[in-house]
Amino acid sequence: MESEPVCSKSTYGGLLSVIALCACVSVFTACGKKIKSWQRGTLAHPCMTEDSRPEELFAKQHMLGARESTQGASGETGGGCGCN
Amino acid sequence: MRLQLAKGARSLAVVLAVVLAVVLAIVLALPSAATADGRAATWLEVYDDDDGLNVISSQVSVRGEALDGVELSASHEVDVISAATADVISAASPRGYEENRHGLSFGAQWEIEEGTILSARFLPSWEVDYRSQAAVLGFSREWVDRRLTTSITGRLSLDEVGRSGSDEHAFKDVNTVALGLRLGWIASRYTLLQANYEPQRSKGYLSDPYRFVDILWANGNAVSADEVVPDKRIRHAMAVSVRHAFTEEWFLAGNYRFYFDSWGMTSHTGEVELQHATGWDDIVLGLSARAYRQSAADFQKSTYETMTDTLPQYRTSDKMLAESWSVLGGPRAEYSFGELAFLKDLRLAMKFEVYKQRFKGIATIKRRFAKTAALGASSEF
Repeated sequence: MESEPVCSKSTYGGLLSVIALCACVSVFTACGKKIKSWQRGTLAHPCMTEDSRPEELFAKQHMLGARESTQGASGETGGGCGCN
Repeated sequence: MRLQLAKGARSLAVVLAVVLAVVLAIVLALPSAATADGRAATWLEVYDDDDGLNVISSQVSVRGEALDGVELSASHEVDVISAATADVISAASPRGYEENRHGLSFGAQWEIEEGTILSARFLPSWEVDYRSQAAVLGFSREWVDRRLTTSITGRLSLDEVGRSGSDEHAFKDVNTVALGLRLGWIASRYTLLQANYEPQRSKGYLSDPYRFVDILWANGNAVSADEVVPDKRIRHAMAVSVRHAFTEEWFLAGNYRFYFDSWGMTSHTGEVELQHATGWDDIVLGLSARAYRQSAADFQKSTYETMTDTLPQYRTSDKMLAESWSVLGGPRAEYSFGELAFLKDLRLAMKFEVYKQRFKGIATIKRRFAKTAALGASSEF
């Protein structure tokens, strides 16, 4: 008498999917570690904040936007060209 | 006409300066100002290249908490441009030109609840041959114990482009709609990750009204024709960036951006910045470098030839649409004077950068070398 396989192929596939999903979720939530507010000190440093010098960022993007044709996804440049 | 516009621009600049002062006064005079977080800043940057272009840009900006959870902001920037670049000399004016560009920004953001922000901005700008009015709406929210930030922005820009001194009715429309999607992620107590995606659609007159293109006929004669490019352009830009603190004094930021559009252009941009801070952020020294490469637009050619009596449908001599690469980089320094009178943290920053660009398939220019120097001051109040 042939014994029934413990897990069918589809069961294995389902298990693998669940494991993959769990792995993705745990990576996405930084391996399950919770960062307390008092641990954000370094993250609050101006060097870690993109918005800490908006004038510089604007001036840089505006200058590059008038010299290179492929803008986008790097901050607002405002209107007008100031180019030629 | 040009003189009238210049006088108009000067008057507007005065009006805008007054408007900014009034905004600042209102922000400071509001009852909540005593406990409000506010910031005022100015930035002056000089650009000079070996192609005869000189731009002096200045910005003044102010923001402050007007009501509980509501922040208002305003800024004004001016570009004073003097140019005698090779293509401008050959196409528009034999001696180059001088002109001013003004830009304004009025914004408000409302923190609906902790970690949820709604924002709106209006950005008009104008120069003698280009006018723009842009509106930006944004919404951002923090999730997962405030470690994940998702943002969505929508931008509508209604622009008009013409020639300096041309009739008001000769200006043509360019409309742009853009969407911005951003994910920010606190990966650890030392590392921040970010991903951006921005699709953008522009429709209207996207050519340069000053630019002319030489066309070679089969009989060997050449004719100069106005530039014509497609009247629609769909762009896609996506970027990933990382910020990492090695210690409380050493920081590294890196960014990679990929771009492609319906004109067949693609580009890759890589950027890094290393910063060293002492005394938390009393002195910050930085060094940045950026490398960029773009492919040419499908219709861009170094020379246009035709065997028939019809001109090529699309034709351009725009170096911005040619294959090119560039590098940009330089040092930056920032110093804090600490608390002075009612100013909470007066800071002075300066930056110097060099920019080198190389073009392929452009007859008038092969390379460009530029220097930028900038000085800025900011303070919280």
